[in-house]
Formats: sequence, C-alpha cells, structure tokens
Amino acid sequence: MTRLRRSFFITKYFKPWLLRLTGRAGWATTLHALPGGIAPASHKTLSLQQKITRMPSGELGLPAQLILPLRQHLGPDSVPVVSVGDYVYKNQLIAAANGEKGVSLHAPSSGYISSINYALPPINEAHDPERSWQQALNRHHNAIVIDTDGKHAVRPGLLGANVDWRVRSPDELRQAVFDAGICGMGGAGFPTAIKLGASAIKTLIINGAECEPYITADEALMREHAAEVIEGALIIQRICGAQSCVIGIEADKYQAIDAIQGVINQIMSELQPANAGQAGLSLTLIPPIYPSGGEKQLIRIMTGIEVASGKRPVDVGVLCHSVATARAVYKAVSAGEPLTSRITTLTGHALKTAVNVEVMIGTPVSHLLDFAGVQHSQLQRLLVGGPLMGYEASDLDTPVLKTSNCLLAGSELDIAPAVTQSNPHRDCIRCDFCATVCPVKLQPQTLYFAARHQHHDASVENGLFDCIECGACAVVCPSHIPLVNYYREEKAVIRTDNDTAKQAYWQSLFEKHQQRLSVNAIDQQQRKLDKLQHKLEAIAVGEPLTKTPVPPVVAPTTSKSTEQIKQEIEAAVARTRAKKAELQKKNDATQDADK
Amino acid sequence: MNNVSHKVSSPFLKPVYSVPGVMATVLLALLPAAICYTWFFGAGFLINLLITSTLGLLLEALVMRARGKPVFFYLGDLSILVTAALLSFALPPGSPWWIATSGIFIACVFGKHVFGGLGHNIFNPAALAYVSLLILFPLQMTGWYLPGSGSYAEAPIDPLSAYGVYTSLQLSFPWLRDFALTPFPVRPDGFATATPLIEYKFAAPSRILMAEPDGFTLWERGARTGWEMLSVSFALGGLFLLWRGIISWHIPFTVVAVVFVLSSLFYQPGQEAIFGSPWLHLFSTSTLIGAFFIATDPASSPSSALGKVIYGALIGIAMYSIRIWGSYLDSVALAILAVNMCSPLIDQLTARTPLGHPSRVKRWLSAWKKTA
Ligand code: SF4
Ligand code: SF4
Repeated sequence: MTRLRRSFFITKYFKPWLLRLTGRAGWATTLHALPGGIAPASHKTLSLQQKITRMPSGELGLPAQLILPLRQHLGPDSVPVVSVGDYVYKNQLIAAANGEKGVSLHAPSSGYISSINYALPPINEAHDPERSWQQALNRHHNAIVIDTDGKHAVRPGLLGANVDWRVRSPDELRQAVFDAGICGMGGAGFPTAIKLGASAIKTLIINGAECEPYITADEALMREHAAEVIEGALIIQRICGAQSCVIGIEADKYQAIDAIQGVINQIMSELQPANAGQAGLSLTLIPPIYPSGGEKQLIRIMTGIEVASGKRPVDVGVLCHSVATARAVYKAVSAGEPLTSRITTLTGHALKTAVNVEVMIGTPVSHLLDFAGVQHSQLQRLLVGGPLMGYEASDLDTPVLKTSNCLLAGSELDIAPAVTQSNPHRDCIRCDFCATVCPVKLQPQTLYFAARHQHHDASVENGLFDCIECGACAVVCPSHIPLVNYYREEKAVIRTDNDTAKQAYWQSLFEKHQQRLSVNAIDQQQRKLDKLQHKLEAIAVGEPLTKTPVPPVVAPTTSKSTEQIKQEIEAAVARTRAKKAELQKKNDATQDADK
Repeated sequence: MNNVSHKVSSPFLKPVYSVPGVMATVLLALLPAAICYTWFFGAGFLINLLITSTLGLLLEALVMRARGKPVFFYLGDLSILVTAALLSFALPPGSPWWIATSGIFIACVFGKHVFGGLGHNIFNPAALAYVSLLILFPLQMTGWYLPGSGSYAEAPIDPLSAYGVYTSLQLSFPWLRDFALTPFPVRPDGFATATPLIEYKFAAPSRILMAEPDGFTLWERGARTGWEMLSVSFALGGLFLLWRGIISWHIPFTVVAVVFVLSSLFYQPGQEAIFGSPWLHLFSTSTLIGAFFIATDPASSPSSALGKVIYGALIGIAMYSIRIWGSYLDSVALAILAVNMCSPLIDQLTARTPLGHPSRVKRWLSAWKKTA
C-alpha cells in the first residue's frame, strides 16, 4: 500500500531509528530528511527467494545471439573494431570507445560476428533526451550481433596483469576502468571513467539504496558479493582520492546490511591498529522511501548538501556510484575483466519464477523470459527497469543493456491501465498530494497546468527542469493524471524551441512573408489584366474608349487610332500575362522547396 | 477530454488514490456527525440530505450534459455528494424543501460549474450556497426547529419517533399539513430563533445557554450538548481524514489554534455574553466543521504548506472578528469565503522553492537590491 502521509513518519524516521537502537548496522552520520517521497508496496520478496542464477549454467544457457548496441551509455557511439565473419573470444574488444567520453564494448561470449550494423528497432520514443537509454534507443540504432558458439572461450592471455590495486597509481586504475567499458549501471549510464576523473572529491557515496519497487539486483549483489562491492568501493575511493566512503543502504534490506557490515568490520579489524582511520569506510542506513536512491536525493539525505539546480554532485565534492558499478570496477581492476555481464532482476506477476540472474550484456529479453517461464496470457507490459522509472520494451528481442537493472513482466497486478481515449484521466482537483510527495519540492500541479497550457515560461520558472521524473506525483494523483508524460512532452517542446526549431520558426516566418509578397504581386498583375480585358471587351462592343466624354479640346490632339490603342492594350495584356506566369512559377518553385 | 496522445511511459505503478475514493472517504468522515446530528436534531437533516443529494446528482448530470461532457464519468467523482452533505449540515433542520433545493442549485451551478467544475472553483460551493441562502432567506435560515430538545421540557417529543419524523416531514413539506390527520401544532415554542451555529452573540441571550443543566448526560438531547457532541464528531471525522492522508494538518490546526488563542486573549470570565469562552468558540459553534471540512477544500485553498498556514490563520482571524465585531449572522462560512478570495494571491506568494534553488528570502533580497 502506497502511503502518502499516513504512517509516513514511522517509515521515514522511526523505523531506521529503531533499527539503530536494536543494534543493527551503523548510523554514522546525522540524516537529513528527504522532502516528500512515497513508500509503495515493494514486491521485492518476489525475486529474493533464490540466489543469483549465473549464466551460462543449468537451465539458463547462452542465447544463440547476443545483440550489443553501440551506444548503451551517455556519450558518442562506440566504433566497431571487428568485421562480419570474425571470430571473437569472450572479453575481446569489439567496439572501441569513441574518444575520451566514449565507452568501449567487449564480447560477452565467444562466437562469430554476424552483423556490425544491425538496426535495433526503436524501443521507446524520446521523452527526455537526458536519460541515456532513451537517447540510445529512441531511434534505429546500430548494434553488433554475435552468433555464440556456446564454448564461452576466453583467449589465453587476454586478462590484465593481476597486480594488487593498492600499489597501482590512481591514473593507472582509472585507465583500467576506462578499458573495461564501464558506465553507470544504475540507470543513467554515465561513463564511469569520466566521473572518476573529477578533482577535489571529499566524499564518495556508494548507492545501495535501490528504492524502486520490484528491483532487487543491487540487494542480491550486496547479499552475495559484499566483499567485491566493498573492494570496488575502496578502489574508487583510491582513484578519486575521497577522504571518506559511505555506503548507503535502505534500512529494510536486512541481509544486505548484515553482509556489508560484516565485510566492513573485517576490513577495519585488519587495519587495526596502525591506520584505523585510514579507510574512512562506513555504512549508513537510509529510510526506505522512494526515491531516496536518486543521486541528488541520496546526497541530500546523507550529507545534507543541496546540489544547486543545474549543477552536478561533483561540483560540491561528492561522488556517487552504484554498488553494481563498484563491483564492475572491482572486476575490471582485480581480474582485468571488462563489463560484459550484469545482475538483472527478472520479476513481475506474469512470470512463474522471479529471480535475479547474472546475464551477458546483449542477451535478448525473450531468452530470459523463456527461462523465467513467462505466461504470455497474463503479460500486460514488459518493462525494462522498475515500474516507476523504467521504459516499455515493445520488442522481445530488446537486449539487456549495461544499464538494465530489471525486467518486469507485469501482469494486471503490477501495471496500471494506461490513460487513453477510452480511459481518460480526471481533472486536477488541486488536492496537493503530488506536492507532498515530490522529492524536489516542486509543485507538480502547477507544472501540470503550465505544461498542459503550453506556458513554457511558467514551466521553466516553476522548475520543470529540476524534475527528476521519479513519478511519485503521478502515482499518488487521485485523478490519475499521467503527470510525468506531460512534463516529458513539455521538456521536449522547450528544448526544441530553444535550438533548431527556433531557427526553423524564424525561417518559416520569413518564407511566409516572401510568399505573401509574391502572392500580392500576382494579384496586382491579375487585377491589371482584368482591367485591360475589361477595356478590350468594351472596345469590342463599340463603346467609346473613355468612359467620360472626351473634352473637345483634347480630341483633335490624339494621334493614335482606335486600332493602335487596341494593339497597345493587347501588348500590355501579353506583358502582364508573362509577368504573372513568371511570378507564379517562382512562387511554385519556392513552395516546392518548402516541401 | 483528458486523454493522452503521447506514448505511454513511466510510471507504470498502480495509482493508490482515486477521486471517488477521496470523496467517499470524506463522506465516511462525515458519517459520525450525520448520526449525531440526526440523533440530536431529528430527521430534518436526513430530509435535507436526501433533497440535496438527489437534486445535486440530477443537476450535475444536467450541467455536464449542457457542457457536453460525459455525464456518468463526471457523476462518478462523487464530489457533488460531498457538497450536498456539507450543505445539509449548514441548513436548519425543518426548513422548507425549497431552501435545500435552491441551496444545492447555487452550490452546483454558481459555486462550481460557472468556474469550470471540480478543481476550478474559487469558492467552496457549500459555503457559497449557505451564505447566499442566508442573504436570500434570512428568516428561514435562522429558524431552527428542535423537536423535543431538552430546552422544551414542556413539549417532549422524541425527534426520532414516528411522530417526530412526521413533524419533520411536515416542516420540510408544508403542503403535507393539508393532508395530515394530525396537523403539526405550530407553536412558537417549537422554534429556537438562534443557535450557536448561527451566532454566539445572538445565541447568548437565547434559551440555549439558559438551558444549561446541572449535570447533563452526554446523550441527553439538550441543545447545548447537541452542538458540542456535533463538534466533537466533526473533529473525529477530521482526524480520520488526517489519518487517511486526505487533508493535511496545516489548515485545521491553524484555524483552531488562532481561534483558540484569540478567544483566550479576549476572554474575561463573567463576560461570556460578549466575548465567549474558548470552549464555546471551538465547540459550540461551527468552527470545527469549517476548519476540518470546508476550509480544507483543496480547490479553493493554497497549495504550499506555508500558504496553508497563512490561509488558516487568516480564516481564524476572520472567523473570530466577524463573530465578535461583525454584524453578520454567520462567521464561519463568511470568513472562509472571504479568505478563499485571497487564496490565489497566497498561492502566488508562497509557491514552494524547489530544492537547489535560492530560498525565497534570498530571491526577495536580490530583487530588492536590484530595484534599489
Ligand atoms: S495529485 Fe493530481 S489532482 Fe491532486 S493536485 Fe496533483 S495533479 Fe492535481
Ligand atoms: S516526477 Fe518530477 S514533479 Fe513528480 S514528484 Fe518526481 S520530481 Fe516531483
């Protein structure tokens, strides 16, 4: 049951406090309350019954094909370094990073390259270009396809030197992270190596909050690989030179907390007594509230720092990485293993078994669904990501990306019916439920009215671009207004307004103006023509050439005969016709160009 | 119509609340007060409720039809029933049927739909209708029939007995008297001219205060007990709404607090007839229904917490001032209507500052520096 205000206090403050009293893991710093937030039914136990299933193993074999999009991150596409027909080994580089800001791509398993420009169908329309998966997937996008041979063969000698990371320099370590093709695995997909290059970092926060319902990938990871996560965190801390490293976990993930705390205690006791304070490693429990795991939200909860609008956390000396990224860093540095697999939650009530799997990047979703026993009759929507921030996968061949933390095969139990023509939403009743739950302290109803009525200035003034699209407001809205949809559209409109479309707009205005001018000129000629025609007709009928009686004084001086005048008029008609035709042609030409 | 042309996107989570659900919760919260009201003041309330609800639904359907909107979809939001219920609480039981009829007409048409329907109304429809009725029909709106109340020991009629219900019916539908075998004896004693709900200052000299018995029991149908129990049941309903998260504490708390503080400040023991005790201000008037149910109307109140506090405080001040120094028959509805008018401005001035933006004070200061 999602709670709005009721018993909110308890979930938010009392429960974590109680946990501390009862001696559960550390409560290192004072917590700063996150404004808003919701506590929806978590459905996390669904997928936490079993341990992580590794791929390939037992029932979960390798897929016949692996589809690896060239862009799974925020930044330029990677550049293929293999060609069709090549045989690649597991962990072999198949697409190099495109410059400093790129991310490289490695083969998750051995096999033959069957395509390097496979056009991935567009998965979701762009709503917010800032979100990488949409950026990556909103249009036809190239992917490398590997036909796996099932051997899962690693080329001998491909692994990096197994030197203790403690003696390697930060730059070397960062290079290792860059080479491993690691990007943020919590959803944003920001290249990790760039983030690690930031200077003057004081605090490193490892995000184990995972506040979104259904998703348990990080929790399972912490339960089973706590040591690797901590090790990865320490490596990151060494690279960025942060004084302290805090791991934030939601207070209701008991097993994960115990596992992490155990590892921390062990490390601390090993350090004793010589450099006890050196590690600066600690664990903080945060209230189990959605969206406490958002980057800025987590920073606010754990440090009290409010990252100014438009600024990034590194600007205030805080670095935030997810536990999955920390583990990937560990694997990259300690074993030289590139990022080719990740832990993904398979869940939802349309599946027979919900489970966490460690899958190869590029595995088609259908393969995983078959493994989990999807009941197609119940499948309402297939979501990549959680029910609040995820996107719909319209195609079953959608591959698992570096950022895909969850596959939610939602039945009616999980998924709200969409707002459509036959299921309209009600009007806003200004109940302010949305404002109470907004973690950014926006007024969603104000934004909604501004967006709905296309008041772009009002949208921006009211902080549309501070909205993190967490969806909390839309979940509590009693009128079932798809608020986030409205915001996304408005953001898109404003963005296009600001650049290309603006120029196009002025261009179109100018062209319209030109066209109007030419139309006027044509009309003018036409009127002239009509007038002359009229005159000709009049002469033909035999009317006098001038309507008013010719004054006798003027008459004798006219040297032109009627015939002459007639000819002159005809010549003028021809001239005017030609001019009109010319203008018409020109106008048509410009119109064609417009089209 | 509110449909979405854009592609369906996140969030996909099932919504928790719904407008009919919210309205039904409010109706549920009004249930104890309805029972209490009927118990103490007879079936007149139920008759009013019936009239306002049926006609309200009918009117809403007509208006929606006229506005070219899907009738059943909009009837389904149940908001008109809440308005009807709140209005029925404000109407004197035993008032003739056309009072309730015109009341719901004003509430539905002028209170709500001329502004664009639910969520767009500037004033609370029930309060608007009540104040309009007070101005239009002052006589009927101030005459309260209290069958068998403790203050009329000489004519003890159980208001919920068949005879009591029958007399209530006769009062609501005066033409019934023509057919009645035992016409309702119209006695001047049957009408209490004023009640605390109307105004304390008019009530003070009335018989209601004088009827204060020594050691009255809680459920005895004394007028004063009645008002107090009614207020308590409104407060209970309000607390229920708070618990369910339908209203926030800001408005009711500030209204009650301000009224309490002001009445304690001006209260002088022995001068009850002039200023009244805090207890009387809170529990023997309609302060609590106003604070919990009418002032919290989401559409006509500001959005931000600060705005709500200011709004509540203004209502409290206006309530007390109108009650003590004003010369109107009612204070609660008038105060709320008056402050409703300020609500858009309060909304503007107290809009929340998103995280990561300079605070309001900082913004004002920089604007000040720029102009100076
Ligand atoms: S929750 Fe929905 S109905 Fe309520 S104020 Fe926000 S947008 Fe309006
Ligand atoms: S989606 Fe945006 S407006 Fe809505 S609650 Fe989240 S941050 Fe606030």
